[in-house]
Amino acid sequence: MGSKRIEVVSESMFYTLMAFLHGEYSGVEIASMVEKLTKGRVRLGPATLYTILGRFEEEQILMETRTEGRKRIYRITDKGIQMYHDEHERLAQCLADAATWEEESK
Amino acid sequence: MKYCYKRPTFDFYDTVAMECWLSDMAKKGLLYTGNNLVYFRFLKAEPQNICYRVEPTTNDTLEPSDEMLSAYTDAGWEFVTNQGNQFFIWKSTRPDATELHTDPIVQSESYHRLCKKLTRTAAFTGLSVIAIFAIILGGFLVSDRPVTLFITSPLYIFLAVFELFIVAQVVQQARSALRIKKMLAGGFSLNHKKDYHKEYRVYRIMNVLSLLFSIAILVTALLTLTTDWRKSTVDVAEPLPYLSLDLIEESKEFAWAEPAFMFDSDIDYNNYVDYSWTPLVPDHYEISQRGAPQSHKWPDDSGYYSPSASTEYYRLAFSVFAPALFDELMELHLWKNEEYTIYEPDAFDRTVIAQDEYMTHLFVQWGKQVVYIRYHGYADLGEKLELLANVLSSQ
Repeated sequence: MGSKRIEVVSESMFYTLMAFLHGEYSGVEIASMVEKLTKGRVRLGPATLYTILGRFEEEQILMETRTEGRKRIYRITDKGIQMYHDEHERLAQCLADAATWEEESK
Repeated sequence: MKYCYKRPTFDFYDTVAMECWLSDMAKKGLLYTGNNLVYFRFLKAEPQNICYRVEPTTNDTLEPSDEMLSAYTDAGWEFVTNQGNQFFIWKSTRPDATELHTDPIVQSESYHRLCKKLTRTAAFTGLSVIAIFAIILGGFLVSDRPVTLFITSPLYIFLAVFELFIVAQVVQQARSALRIKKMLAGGFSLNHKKDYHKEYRVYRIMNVLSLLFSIAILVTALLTLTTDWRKSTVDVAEPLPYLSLDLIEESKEFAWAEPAFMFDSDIDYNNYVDYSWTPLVPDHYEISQRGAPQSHKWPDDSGYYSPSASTEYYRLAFSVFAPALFDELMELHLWKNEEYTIYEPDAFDRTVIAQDEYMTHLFVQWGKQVVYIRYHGYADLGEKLELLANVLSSQ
Protein backbone atom coordinates (compact mmCIF):
# COMPACT_ATOMS: atom_id res chain seq x y z
CA MET A 1 0.00 0.00 0.00
CA GLY A 2 1.35 3.43 -0.94
CA SER A 3 1.82 5.83 1.93
CA LYS A 4 1.61 9.53 2.58
CA ARG A 5 4.86 11.34 3.43
CA ILE A 6 5.35 12.32 7.03
CA GLU A 7 4.50 16.01 7.04
CA VAL A 8 5.04 16.93 10.67
CA VAL A 9 8.03 15.80 12.72
CA SER A 10 6.69 15.59 16.24
CA GLU A 11 8.76 15.78 19.40
CA SER A 12 8.75 11.98 19.77
CA MET A 13 9.88 11.54 16.18
CA PHE A 14 12.64 14.11 16.57
CA TYR A 15 14.04 12.44 19.69
CA THR A 16 13.83 9.04 18.02
CA LEU A 17 15.87 10.36 15.08
CA MET A 18 18.30 11.95 17.51
CA ALA A 19 18.77 8.72 19.45
CA PHE A 20 19.60 6.78 16.30
CA LEU A 21 22.42 9.19 15.41
CA HIS A 22 24.60 7.28 17.86
CA GLY A 23 24.26 3.86 16.21
CA GLU A 24 22.03 0.83 15.79
CA TYR A 25 19.36 0.14 18.39
CA SER A 26 16.18 -1.76 19.12
CA GLY A 27 12.88 -0.05 19.89
CA VAL A 28 13.12 -0.68 23.64
CA GLU A 29 16.63 0.79 23.78
CA ILE A 30 15.45 3.89 21.93
CA ALA A 31 12.55 4.37 24.36
CA SER A 32 14.85 4.24 27.39
CA MET A 33 17.46 6.48 25.69
CA VAL A 34 14.85 9.15 24.96
CA GLU A 35 13.53 9.02 28.51
CA LYS A 36 17.07 9.31 29.89
CA LEU A 37 18.05 12.06 27.45
CA THR A 38 15.02 14.17 28.37
CA LYS A 39 15.22 13.28 32.07
CA GLY A 40 11.79 11.69 31.88
CA ARG A 41 10.10 14.67 30.20
CA VAL A 42 9.50 12.74 26.97
CA ARG A 43 8.30 9.17 27.33
CA LEU A 44 7.53 7.03 24.33
CA GLY A 45 4.47 4.88 24.94
CA PRO A 46 4.82 1.44 23.32
CA ALA A 47 2.24 2.19 20.61
CA THR A 48 3.85 5.54 19.84
CA LEU A 49 7.26 3.85 19.63
CA TYR A 50 6.14 1.07 17.29
CA THR A 51 4.10 3.43 15.12
CA ILE A 52 7.19 5.62 14.69
CA LEU A 53 9.41 2.64 13.89
CA GLY A 54 6.84 1.22 11.46
CA ARG A 55 6.28 4.52 9.63
CA PHE A 56 10.01 5.38 9.59
CA GLU A 57 10.84 2.00 8.12
CA GLU A 58 8.07 2.42 5.53
CA GLU A 59 9.48 5.82 4.58
CA GLN A 60 13.05 4.45 4.53
CA ILE A 61 14.06 6.80 7.32
CA LEU A 62 15.18 3.77 9.29
CA MET A 63 16.18 0.33 8.10
CA GLU A 64 16.30 -2.95 9.92
CA THR A 65 19.81 -4.34 10.08
CA ARG A 66 19.35 -7.56 12.07
CA THR A 67 17.34 -9.28 14.77
CA GLU A 68 18.58 -10.25 18.22
CA GLY A 69 16.15 -12.76 19.68
CA ARG A 70 12.80 -10.95 19.72
CA LYS A 71 14.37 -7.56 19.08
CA ARG A 72 14.64 -5.94 15.70
CA ILE A 73 17.66 -3.68 15.37
CA TYR A 74 17.47 -0.57 13.20
CA ARG A 75 19.85 2.05 11.92
CA ILE A 76 19.14 5.51 10.57
CA THR A 77 19.44 6.04 6.78
CA ASP A 78 20.87 9.09 4.97
CA LYS A 79 17.28 10.22 4.41
CA GLY A 80 16.72 9.98 8.16
CA ILE A 81 19.87 11.95 8.95
CA GLN A 82 18.80 14.64 6.49
CA MET A 83 15.34 14.69 8.09
CA TYR A 84 16.94 15.16 11.52
CA HIS A 85 19.15 18.02 10.33
CA ASP A 86 16.25 19.75 8.56
CA GLU A 87 14.16 19.60 11.72
CA HIS A 88 17.14 20.64 13.86
CA GLU A 89 17.65 23.66 11.64
CA ARG A 90 13.97 24.57 11.81
CA LEU A 91 13.93 24.32 15.59
CA ALA A 92 17.19 26.31 15.84
CA GLN A 93 15.65 28.97 13.64
CA CYS A 94 12.60 29.05 15.91
CA LEU A 95 14.83 29.56 18.96
CA ALA A 96 16.87 32.21 17.15
CA ASP A 97 13.67 34.05 16.18
CA ALA A 98 12.47 33.84 19.75
CA ALA A 99 15.78 35.22 21.04
CA THR A 100 15.71 38.10 18.56
CA TRP A 101 12.14 38.94 19.47
CA GLU A 102 12.84 38.81 23.20
CA GLU A 103 15.93 41.03 22.67
CA GLU A 104 13.89 43.57 20.71
CA SER A 105 11.16 43.55 23.35
CA LYS A 106 13.54 44.68 26.08
CA MET B 1 -17.58 -20.64 31.33
CA LYS B 2 -20.61 -18.66 30.26
CA TYR B 3 -20.59 -16.28 27.35
CA CYS B 4 -23.03 -13.68 26.15
CA TYR B 5 -23.21 -11.84 22.85
CA LYS B 6 -23.88 -8.17 22.31
CA ARG B 7 -23.96 -5.77 19.42
CA PRO B 8 -22.40 -2.31 19.74
CA THR B 9 -24.91 0.50 19.47
CA PHE B 10 -22.42 2.90 17.93
CA ASP B 11 -20.16 2.99 14.94
CA PHE B 12 -17.69 0.09 15.01
CA TYR B 13 -14.89 2.38 13.79
CA ASP B 14 -15.23 4.95 16.53
CA THR B 15 -12.37 3.41 18.48
CA VAL B 16 -12.81 5.68 21.50
CA ALA B 17 -16.51 4.76 21.82
CA MET B 18 -15.47 1.11 21.50
CA GLU B 19 -12.92 1.42 24.33
CA CYS B 20 -15.51 3.07 26.60
CA TRP B 21 -18.13 0.46 25.77
CA LEU B 22 -15.78 -2.47 26.47
CA SER B 23 -14.81 -0.89 29.82
CA ASP B 24 -18.50 -0.36 30.68
CA MET B 25 -19.19 -4.00 29.88
CA ALA B 26 -16.30 -5.11 32.16
CA LYS B 27 -17.82 -3.04 34.98
CA LYS B 28 -20.99 -5.11 34.48
CA GLY B 29 -18.98 -8.34 34.66
CA LEU B 30 -18.78 -8.95 30.91
CA LEU B 31 -15.21 -9.42 29.68
CA TYR B 32 -14.63 -8.96 25.97
CA THR B 33 -13.06 -11.97 24.26
CA GLY B 34 -13.64 -11.43 20.53
CA ASN B 35 -16.18 -10.66 17.86
CA ASN B 36 -17.41 -11.30 14.38
CA LEU B 37 -18.92 -8.70 12.04
CA VAL B 38 -22.21 -8.64 13.93
CA TYR B 39 -21.76 -9.68 17.55
CA PHE B 40 -19.19 -9.20 20.30
CA ARG B 41 -18.55 -12.10 22.65
CA PHE B 42 -18.23 -11.51 26.38
CA LEU B 43 -17.22 -13.88 29.14
CA LYS B 44 -19.43 -13.61 32.22
CA ALA B 45 -17.28 -12.88 35.29
CA GLU B 46 -17.05 -10.64 38.35
CA PRO B 47 -17.37 -6.91 37.60
CA GLN B 48 -13.92 -5.38 37.04
CA ASN B 49 -12.28 -2.08 36.19
CA ILE B 50 -10.52 -2.77 32.92
CA CYS B 51 -9.07 -0.19 30.60
CA TYR B 52 -9.22 -1.08 26.90
CA ARG B 53 -7.33 0.35 23.96
CA VAL B 54 -8.30 -0.23 20.33
CA GLU B 55 -5.22 0.20 18.18
CA PRO B 56 -5.39 0.35 14.37
CA THR B 57 -2.81 -2.02 12.91
CA THR B 58 -0.12 -0.57 10.68
CA ASN B 59 0.25 -3.63 8.46
CA ASP B 60 -1.68 -6.78 7.51
CA THR B 61 -0.49 -8.94 10.42
CA LEU B 62 -3.13 -10.61 12.57
CA GLU B 63 -1.03 -10.70 15.74
CA PRO B 64 1.48 -8.33 17.31
CA SER B 65 5.14 -9.33 16.99
CA ASP B 66 6.89 -10.89 19.99
CA GLU B 67 8.93 -7.73 20.44
CA MET B 68 5.81 -5.58 20.42
CA LEU B 69 4.02 -7.96 22.79
CA SER B 70 6.94 -7.81 25.21
CA ALA B 71 7.12 -3.98 25.11
CA TYR B 72 3.35 -3.64 25.66
CA THR B 73 3.45 -6.17 28.51
CA ASP B 74 6.29 -4.23 30.16
CA ALA B 75 4.13 -1.13 29.90
CA GLY B 76 1.25 -2.93 31.68
CA TRP B 77 -0.90 -4.04 28.74
CA GLU B 78 -2.23 -7.45 27.76
CA PHE B 79 -3.18 -8.44 24.22
CA VAL B 80 -6.87 -9.46 24.03
CA THR B 81 -7.52 -10.19 20.37
CA ASN B 82 -7.43 -8.78 16.89
CA GLN B 83 -10.38 -7.48 14.90
CA GLY B 84 -9.47 -8.81 11.48
CA ASN B 85 -6.31 -7.11 10.29
CA GLN B 86 -7.67 -3.72 11.27
CA PHE B 87 -7.35 -3.49 15.05
CA PHE B 88 -5.44 -4.97 17.97
CA ILE B 89 -7.35 -4.84 21.25
CA TRP B 90 -5.33 -4.35 24.43
CA LYS B 91 -6.45 -4.28 28.03
CA SER B 92 -4.95 -3.23 31.34
CA THR B 93 -6.04 -3.50 34.95
CA ARG B 94 -2.95 -1.71 36.26
CA PRO B 95 -3.46 1.92 37.34
CA ASP B 96 0.27 2.57 36.71
CA ALA B 97 0.20 1.27 33.12
CA THR B 98 1.95 3.58 30.64
CA GLU B 99 -0.48 5.08 28.14
CA LEU B 100 0.03 3.31 24.81
CA HIS B 101 0.24 6.55 22.88
CA THR B 102 2.12 9.51 24.25
CA ASP B 103 2.17 11.60 21.07
CA PRO B 104 -1.12 12.44 19.26
CA ILE B 105 0.65 13.31 16.01
CA VAL B 106 2.31 9.89 15.89
CA GLN B 107 -1.01 8.31 16.87
CA SER B 108 -2.67 10.01 13.89
CA GLU B 109 -0.14 8.20 11.68
CA SER B 110 -1.47 4.89 13.05
CA TYR B 111 -4.91 5.79 11.60
CA HIS B 112 -3.45 6.51 8.18
CA ARG B 113 -3.82 2.98 6.78
CA LEU B 114 -7.28 2.44 8.30
CA CYS B 115 -8.63 5.75 6.97
CA LYS B 116 -7.32 4.99 3.51
CA LYS B 117 -9.01 1.58 3.53
CA LEU B 118 -12.33 2.93 4.80
CA THR B 119 -12.33 5.83 2.34
CA ARG B 120 -11.76 3.39 -0.52
CA THR B 121 -14.54 1.12 0.75
CA ALA B 122 -16.95 4.07 1.02
CA ALA B 123 -16.07 5.25 -2.49
CA PHE B 124 -16.42 1.75 -3.96
CA THR B 125 -19.75 1.13 -2.18
CA GLY B 126 -21.04 4.53 -3.27
CA LEU B 127 -20.12 3.85 -6.91
CA SER B 128 -21.69 0.37 -6.74
CA VAL B 129 -24.93 1.83 -5.43
CA ILE B 130 -24.93 4.50 -8.13
CA ALA B 131 -24.48 1.71 -10.71
CA ILE B 132 -27.35 -0.31 -9.17
CA PHE B 133 -29.58 2.78 -9.13
CA ALA B 134 -28.66 3.49 -12.76
CA ILE B 135 -29.60 -0.07 -13.76
CA ILE B 136 -32.93 0.12 -11.89
CA LEU B 137 -33.69 3.60 -13.19
CA GLY B 138 -32.69 2.48 -16.70
CA GLY B 139 -35.15 -0.40 -16.41
CA PHE B 140 -37.94 2.03 -15.56
CA LEU B 141 -36.93 4.51 -18.24
CA VAL B 142 -36.90 1.97 -21.07
CA SER B 143 -40.09 0.31 -19.89
CA ASP B 144 -43.38 1.17 -21.63
CA ARG B 145 -45.14 0.57 -18.32
CA PRO B 146 -42.95 2.07 -15.56
CA VAL B 147 -45.81 2.32 -13.03
CA THR B 148 -46.86 -1.28 -13.63
CA LEU B 149 -43.24 -2.39 -13.29
CA PHE B 150 -42.88 -0.37 -10.09
CA ILE B 151 -45.98 -1.70 -8.37
CA THR B 152 -45.53 -5.30 -9.46
CA SER B 153 -41.75 -5.50 -8.78
CA PRO B 154 -41.14 -3.30 -5.71
CA LEU B 155 -38.33 -5.53 -4.45
CA TYR B 156 -35.90 -3.68 -6.71
CA ILE B 157 -36.80 -0.41 -5.04
CA PHE B 158 -36.57 -1.94 -1.57
CA LEU B 159 -33.12 -3.33 -2.37
CA ALA B 160 -32.00 0.04 -3.70
CA VAL B 161 -33.13 1.74 -0.48
CA PHE B 162 -31.37 -0.95 1.53
CA GLU B 163 -28.20 -0.20 -0.43
CA LEU B 164 -28.56 3.41 0.69
CA PHE B 165 -28.48 2.26 4.32
CA ILE B 166 -25.25 0.39 3.58
CA VAL B 167 -23.70 3.46 1.96
CA ALA B 168 -24.71 5.57 4.96
CA GLN B 169 -23.03 3.02 7.21
CA VAL B 170 -19.70 2.84 5.34
CA VAL B 171 -19.59 6.62 5.02
CA GLN B 172 -20.21 6.88 8.75
CA GLN B 173 -17.35 4.42 9.40
CA ALA B 174 -14.92 6.41 7.25
CA ARG B 175 -16.04 9.66 8.89
CA SER B 176 -15.51 8.25 12.39
CA ALA B 177 -11.94 7.16 11.66
CA LEU B 178 -11.10 10.33 9.72
CA ARG B 179 -12.47 12.51 12.54
CA ILE B 180 -10.22 10.79 15.06
CA LYS B 181 -7.20 11.01 12.76
CA LYS B 182 -7.81 14.71 12.10
CA MET B 183 -8.14 15.48 15.78
CA LEU B 184 -4.91 13.64 16.59
CA ALA B 185 -3.04 15.25 13.69
CA GLY B 186 -4.06 18.61 15.16
CA GLY B 187 -2.17 17.67 18.31
CA PHE B 188 -5.22 16.85 20.45
CA SER B 189 -5.08 13.70 22.56
CA LEU B 190 -8.06 11.36 22.63
CA ASN B 191 -10.53 11.67 25.46
CA HIS B 192 -10.93 8.08 26.58
CA LYS B 193 -14.07 8.88 28.58
CA LYS B 194 -16.71 9.43 25.96
CA ASP B 195 -20.51 9.67 26.21
CA TYR B 196 -21.18 7.36 23.27
CA HIS B 197 -24.83 6.83 24.33
CA LYS B 198 -25.73 10.43 23.59
CA GLU B 199 -23.60 10.83 20.47
CA TYR B 200 -24.96 7.77 18.69
CA ARG B 201 -28.70 8.27 19.20
CA VAL B 202 -29.30 8.87 15.46
CA TYR B 203 -26.99 5.97 14.58
CA ARG B 204 -29.07 3.62 16.73
CA ILE B 205 -32.30 4.80 15.06
CA MET B 206 -30.70 4.19 11.66
CA ASN B 207 -29.64 0.73 12.78
CA VAL B 208 -33.16 -0.16 13.91
CA LEU B 209 -34.63 1.18 10.65
CA SER B 210 -32.08 -0.79 8.65
CA LEU B 211 -32.99 -3.95 10.58
CA LEU B 212 -36.74 -3.39 10.09
CA PHE B 213 -36.16 -2.74 6.41
CA SER B 214 -34.14 -5.96 6.05
CA ILE B 215 -36.99 -7.89 7.68
CA ALA B 216 -39.50 -6.17 5.39
CA ILE B 217 -37.46 -7.16 2.31
CA LEU B 218 -37.20 -10.75 3.51
CA VAL B 219 -40.91 -11.04 4.31
CA THR B 220 -41.85 -9.41 1.00
CA ALA B 221 -39.58 -11.76 -0.93
CA LEU B 222 -41.00 -14.79 0.90
CA LEU B 223 -44.61 -13.70 0.41
CA THR B 224 -44.02 -12.91 -3.25
CA LEU B 225 -42.50 -16.34 -3.79
CA THR B 226 -45.06 -18.28 -1.80
CA THR B 227 -48.35 -16.53 -2.58
CA ASP B 228 -48.28 -16.70 -6.39
CA TRP B 229 -50.35 -19.42 -7.96
CA ARG B 230 -51.90 -20.58 -11.24
CA LYS B 231 -55.03 -22.74 -11.26
CA SER B 232 -57.75 -23.92 -13.58
CA THR B 233 -60.74 -21.63 -13.08
CA VAL B 234 -62.92 -24.52 -11.93
CA ASP B 235 -60.44 -25.24 -9.13
CA VAL B 236 -60.62 -21.73 -7.66
CA ALA B 237 -62.95 -21.68 -4.68
CA GLU B 238 -62.98 -17.96 -3.86
CA PRO B 239 -65.06 -15.45 -5.86
CA LEU B 240 -63.00 -14.01 -8.69
CA PRO B 241 -63.02 -10.33 -9.73
CA TYR B 242 -64.16 -10.84 -13.30
CA LEU B 243 -67.12 -11.08 -15.62
CA SER B 244 -67.63 -14.73 -16.29
CA LEU B 245 -67.88 -15.46 -20.01
CA ASP B 246 -71.24 -17.28 -19.63
CA LEU B 247 -72.70 -14.17 -17.97
CA ILE B 248 -71.36 -11.97 -20.77
CA GLU B 249 -72.74 -14.25 -23.47
CA GLU B 250 -76.17 -14.97 -21.90
CA SER B 251 -76.72 -17.58 -24.57
CA LYS B 252 -78.20 -21.03 -24.25
CA GLU B 253 -75.75 -22.24 -26.79
CA PHE B 254 -72.73 -21.13 -24.72
CA ALA B 255 -70.50 -23.86 -23.38
CA TRP B 256 -67.02 -23.73 -21.95
CA ALA B 257 -64.19 -24.90 -24.21
CA GLU B 258 -62.89 -28.37 -23.61
CA PRO B 259 -60.03 -28.34 -21.07
CA ALA B 260 -56.63 -28.07 -22.70
CA PHE B 261 -53.83 -29.56 -20.62
CA MET B 262 -50.25 -28.90 -21.62
CA PHE B 263 -47.52 -31.43 -20.95
CA ASP B 264 -48.04 -33.02 -17.53
CA SER B 265 -49.74 -29.96 -16.09
CA ASP B 266 -53.20 -30.34 -14.53
CA ILE B 267 -54.08 -26.76 -15.45
CA ASP B 268 -56.72 -26.13 -18.08
CA TYR B 269 -55.03 -23.55 -20.28
CA ASN B 270 -58.36 -22.62 -21.88
CA ASN B 271 -59.77 -21.42 -18.56
CA TYR B 272 -57.26 -20.55 -15.89
CA VAL B 273 -56.35 -17.94 -13.30
CA ASP B 274 -52.99 -16.43 -12.34
CA TYR B 275 -52.68 -14.77 -8.96
CA SER B 276 -49.81 -12.74 -7.57
CA TRP B 277 -49.15 -10.53 -4.58
CA THR B 278 -46.87 -7.60 -4.00
CA PRO B 279 -47.05 -5.02 -1.20
CA LEU B 280 -48.29 -2.38 -3.64
CA VAL B 281 -50.70 -4.74 -5.45
CA PRO B 282 -52.13 -7.01 -2.76
CA ASP B 283 -54.39 -8.71 -5.34
CA HIS B 284 -53.43 -9.16 -8.95
CA TYR B 285 -55.41 -11.61 -11.08
CA GLU B 286 -55.03 -12.51 -14.72
CA ILE B 287 -57.97 -14.61 -15.84
CA SER B 288 -58.24 -16.32 -19.20
CA GLN B 289 -61.61 -17.64 -20.46
CA ARG B 290 -62.54 -19.48 -23.61
CA GLY B 291 -65.90 -20.75 -24.85
CA ALA B 292 -66.46 -23.77 -27.05
CA PRO B 293 -67.08 -23.23 -30.79
CA GLN B 294 -70.79 -22.82 -31.47
CA SER B 295 -72.93 -23.89 -34.38
CA HIS B 296 -72.78 -20.59 -36.30
CA LYS B 297 -69.75 -18.98 -37.89
CA TRP B 298 -68.11 -15.55 -37.47
CA PRO B 299 -69.39 -13.10 -40.13
CA ASP B 300 -66.03 -13.14 -41.96
CA ASP B 301 -66.33 -16.91 -42.22
CA SER B 302 -63.09 -17.35 -40.28
CA GLY B 303 -64.45 -20.26 -38.29
CA TYR B 304 -67.15 -21.13 -35.79
CA TYR B 305 -68.09 -18.49 -33.25
CA SER B 306 -66.10 -19.11 -30.05
CA PRO B 307 -66.09 -16.22 -27.52
CA SER B 308 -63.12 -15.58 -25.26
CA ALA B 309 -62.10 -13.08 -22.64
CA SER B 310 -58.95 -12.08 -20.78
CA THR B 311 -59.15 -10.10 -17.57
CA GLU B 312 -56.44 -8.22 -15.72
CA TYR B 313 -57.50 -7.18 -12.25
CA TYR B 314 -55.43 -5.03 -9.90
CA ARG B 315 -56.39 -4.14 -6.35
CA LEU B 316 -53.81 -1.55 -5.34
CA ALA B 317 -52.58 -0.72 -1.87
CA PHE B 318 -52.76 2.99 -2.73
CA SER B 319 -55.25 4.55 -5.13
CA VAL B 320 -52.64 7.11 -6.18
CA PHE B 321 -51.20 4.58 -8.65
CA ALA B 322 -54.60 3.77 -10.21
CA PRO B 323 -54.85 6.55 -12.87
CA ALA B 324 -51.31 5.90 -14.17
CA LEU B 325 -51.92 2.14 -14.24
CA PHE B 326 -55.19 2.74 -16.11
CA ASP B 327 -53.37 4.89 -18.72
CA GLU B 328 -50.59 2.33 -19.11
CA LEU B 329 -53.10 -0.48 -19.67
CA MET B 330 -54.78 1.59 -22.38
CA GLU B 331 -51.41 2.42 -23.93
CA LEU B 332 -50.46 -1.25 -23.94
CA HIS B 333 -53.68 -2.77 -25.24
CA LEU B 334 -54.94 -0.20 -27.72
CA TRP B 335 -52.75 -0.22 -30.79
CA LYS B 336 -52.00 3.13 -32.36
CA ASN B 337 -52.59 2.03 -35.97
CA GLU B 338 -55.97 0.44 -35.22
CA GLU B 339 -59.21 2.33 -35.53
CA TYR B 340 -61.44 1.86 -32.51
CA THR B 341 -64.86 3.13 -31.62
CA ILE B 342 -64.15 4.62 -28.23
CA TYR B 343 -66.64 5.87 -25.68
CA GLU B 344 -66.50 6.65 -22.00
CA PRO B 345 -69.65 5.63 -20.11
CA ASP B 346 -70.42 7.48 -16.90
CA ALA B 347 -69.58 4.58 -14.63
CA PHE B 348 -67.08 3.90 -11.87
CA ASP B 349 -64.34 6.57 -11.46
CA ARG B 350 -63.34 6.15 -15.06
CA THR B 351 -64.47 3.77 -17.77
CA VAL B 352 -63.30 3.49 -21.35
CA ILE B 353 -64.70 1.06 -23.90
CA ALA B 354 -62.90 0.61 -27.20
CA GLN B 355 -64.44 -1.56 -29.89
CA ASP B 356 -62.89 -2.95 -33.01
CA GLU B 357 -65.37 -5.20 -34.88
CA TYR B 358 -65.88 -8.13 -32.49
CA MET B 359 -63.07 -7.24 -30.09
CA THR B 360 -63.99 -5.09 -27.09
CA HIS B 361 -61.51 -3.55 -24.66
CA LEU B 362 -62.99 -2.42 -21.37
CA PHE B 363 -60.90 -0.34 -18.95
CA VAL B 364 -62.27 0.45 -15.51
CA GLN B 365 -60.85 2.34 -12.54
CA TRP B 366 -62.80 2.30 -9.32
CA GLY B 367 -61.01 3.50 -6.19
CA LYS B 368 -58.05 1.19 -5.70
CA GLN B 369 -59.32 -1.29 -8.31
CA VAL B 370 -58.23 -1.24 -11.94
CA VAL B 371 -59.65 -3.74 -14.42
CA TYR B 372 -58.96 -4.44 -18.04
CA ILE B 373 -61.11 -6.91 -19.99
CA ARG B 374 -60.42 -7.93 -23.57
CA TYR B 375 -63.49 -9.67 -24.92
CA HIS B 376 -63.83 -11.35 -28.29
CA GLY B 377 -67.49 -11.91 -29.10
CA TYR B 378 -70.81 -10.33 -29.98
CA ALA B 379 -71.96 -9.11 -26.53
CA ASP B 380 -71.92 -5.43 -25.57
CA LEU B 381 -69.72 -4.97 -22.49
CA GLY B 382 -71.25 -1.53 -21.99
CA GLU B 383 -74.41 -3.30 -20.85
CA LYS B 384 -72.50 -5.38 -18.32
CA LEU B 385 -71.12 -2.54 -16.23
CA GLU B 386 -73.70 -2.97 -13.46
CA LEU B 387 -72.83 -6.63 -13.27
CA LEU B 388 -69.15 -5.71 -13.06
CA ALA B 389 -69.92 -3.17 -10.32
CA ASN B 390 -71.56 -5.94 -8.27
CA VAL B 391 -68.49 -8.14 -8.73
CA LEU B 392 -66.01 -5.38 -7.84
CA SER B 393 -67.98 -4.13 -4.83
CA SER B 394 -67.72 -7.59 -3.29
CA GLN B 395 -63.90 -7.56 -3.51
